[in-house]
Amino acid sequence: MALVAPLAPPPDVYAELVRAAAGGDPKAMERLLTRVQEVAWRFSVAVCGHADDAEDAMQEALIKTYRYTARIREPEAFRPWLHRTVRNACLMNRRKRAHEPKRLESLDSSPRDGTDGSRLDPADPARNPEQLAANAGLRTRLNGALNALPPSYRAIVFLREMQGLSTRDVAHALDISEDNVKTRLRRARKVLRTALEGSAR
Amino acid sequence: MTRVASTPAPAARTRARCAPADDLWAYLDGELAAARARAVARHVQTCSACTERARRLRAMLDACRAAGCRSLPPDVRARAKARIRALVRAR
Repeated sequence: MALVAPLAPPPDVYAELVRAAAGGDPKAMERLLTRVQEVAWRFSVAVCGHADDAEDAMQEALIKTYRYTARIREPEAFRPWLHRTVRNACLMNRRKRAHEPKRLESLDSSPRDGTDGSRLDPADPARNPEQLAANAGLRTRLNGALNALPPSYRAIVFLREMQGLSTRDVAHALDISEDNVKTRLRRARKVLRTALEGSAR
Repeated sequence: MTRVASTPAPAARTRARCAPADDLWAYLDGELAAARARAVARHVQTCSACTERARRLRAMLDACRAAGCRSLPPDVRARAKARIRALVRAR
């Protein structure tokens, strides 16, 4: 029987960029800040669900990264630091908007213009129409299940499953214990699995 | 009636060795201790039920990872780029 292999951790794309940017390389700084903006937007939309919060969190992450990079001593610790910064920015914005009705943006839609983001995914290896449709359906189900989770669970799913952070780094980014991460992740995975497999039947 | 000393049926023996769900998740996450990971991998390779469980869990992980790679919408990307350029030029 073929072995079902563990999921390989994503490469740390930040450490090298942080080193180069801290050393004064403007191109590396620009690439680092671009990645930071992307992560801040994804985290905000997936976890906070407010388009304007996403822009605010992007701005916050941008400024803090720009100021922090020259002083960083452990480039390997940048990724959890970044997620912690974005998460704090989201929390601040949520507090500011406590009086407003809750709504969630879809990961598949543009916060501003409603564009279908599924057309914009260059990372999708499957390009044939049937596979793209199947992937789009899966994404829609996943997005629906994710939005049904409480924000604290969504944050864990985002960091652990979507960004590939280790349990330890997720705990650090969210300022909770590793046991807490494991417990919430177990519950969230159960919900996601039920949603994905149930609706696929 | 002669009672035969009980020997578990093959299926029961396999189930007894099946990894608990948490171990299977940790294995797929790459967060299981090396010796335990090898044991789980060996078992999964020989147990069709666990292969199927692992395959389904892995498919969910793959779907989540793919969802985490989505590109920014063009208007958001354009604003992000403008912010970065302004900041880097002001250096």
